Amino acid sequence: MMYRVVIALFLVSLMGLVHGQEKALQRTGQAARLYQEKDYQEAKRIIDECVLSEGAEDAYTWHVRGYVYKELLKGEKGFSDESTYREEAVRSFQQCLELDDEQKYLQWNTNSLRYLASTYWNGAVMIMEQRDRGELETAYGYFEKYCSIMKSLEQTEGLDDRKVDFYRAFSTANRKVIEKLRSQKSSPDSYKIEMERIEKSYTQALQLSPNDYGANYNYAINLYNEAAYRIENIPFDAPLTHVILEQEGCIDIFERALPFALKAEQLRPGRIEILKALRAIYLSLNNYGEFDRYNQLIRDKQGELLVPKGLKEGELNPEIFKGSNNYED
Amino acid sequence: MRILLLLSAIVLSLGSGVENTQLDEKDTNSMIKANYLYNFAKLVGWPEKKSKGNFVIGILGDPSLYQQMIKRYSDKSIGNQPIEIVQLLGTERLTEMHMLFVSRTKSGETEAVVKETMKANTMVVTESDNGLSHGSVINIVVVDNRLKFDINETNAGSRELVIANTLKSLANNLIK
Repeated sequence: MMYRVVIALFLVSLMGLVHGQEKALQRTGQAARLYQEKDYQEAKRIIDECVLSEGAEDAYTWHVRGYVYKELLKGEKGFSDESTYREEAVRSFQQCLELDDEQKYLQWNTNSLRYLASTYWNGAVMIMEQRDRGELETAYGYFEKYCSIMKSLEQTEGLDDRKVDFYRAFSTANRKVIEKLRSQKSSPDSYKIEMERIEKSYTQALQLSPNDYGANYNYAINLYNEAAYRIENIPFDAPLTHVILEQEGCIDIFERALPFALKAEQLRPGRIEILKALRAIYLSLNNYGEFDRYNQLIRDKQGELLVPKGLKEGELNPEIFKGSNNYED
Repeated sequence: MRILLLLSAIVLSLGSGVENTQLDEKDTNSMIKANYLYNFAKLVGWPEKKSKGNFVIGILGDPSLYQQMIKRYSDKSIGNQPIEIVQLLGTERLTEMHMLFVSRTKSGETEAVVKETMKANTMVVTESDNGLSHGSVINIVVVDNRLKFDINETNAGSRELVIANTLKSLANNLIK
């Protein structure tokens, strides 16, 4: 409420400025009055005409247009991708910044653009939390718009950290979609887009922050889980050629996972979760020497007794469980 | 949308949106080997005397592979012979086997196993450096992190086993 009062006062003061101009932009003033009267649709009609003619090079006209569109955005029902109000508000404020040589509207434009940037960011966060598969691409689009506005304002302090946070959260949202599909035994082809997004996001996060433990660890695990799922889902009666080809593709994925897992271990040595990840990756790479080494490290750390999945200790000859390679000695 | 816009003065945190991925650890090595064994069984011909009753696959060592075999193939057949999977603890029942897998950790027993099963037309599959020279028919090897397999056709012939061309063509090494 307070915010609106301030804006109204500001516009009234600016209207005086309009009257003082040698070549008064009467239609801009008319739009500003309609804005005050909250007739935003009519204000939009007039200001849109104005920016196409006498107001095209006028900073104030674009400024008023930004506010008109911002109010229209606030009045929207629901979250409509069809709406161009937000984009037009951003474009108007940015255009005003470009034309405003005397920086009369700088602070107002900057605040409005920051506000609009926040709506993009928050929109992206909300979509990701809802984990609506069909909307995740929109979330990424909002994030890009947020970054673009912040860059245009030259407000990039902390932006890289925020990007890393986003990339990780975006990967998490996509991973949740994949996990749901995997639980339904869906084919890896059915979530190819989500997997590509995960890979792209972690690549971008690691370009900005190569020493981020979480990004390295999670990227490695996402790759491992994907290849392991693919192997697990090779049909029992798949011909040998199919098995060989599928193995080829999956080993490539395990090989890609390895450097990120090793980097994570380097960043947080001895952490049990990363030791387990490396053990799993090395076994999948059929590197028994390294598998044994990590197996031993885990044992030393946890005293963990390794029993193959699905078996309980003692179901078979206990001698079998003493080992290392393939969970046996 | 209104709520979102009102909230926009506050930038939402992503803290809760970032979660560590849980490792879904699987013994993929055993999964591939299990699939290989099934394919070996389909692509080898056994003499007439082995064409009745269950198709018996023995696993010496490697309980994880045994688990995979049970999970995937215990209710399947080779031709009209139902598959029976046996986890061996020693050299018991060796002559019943159509196929016998000797794990890396039991490779010291390869020679004895080969000798024991010679007349029983058992196809011995190993995964050790000298498996074929000790008399096995197929030896699973690791090449560039991939599981591949070498075949010794002479060893197969001495057990009256006929290796299909498809299998031979996919071998990493074929020794005649």
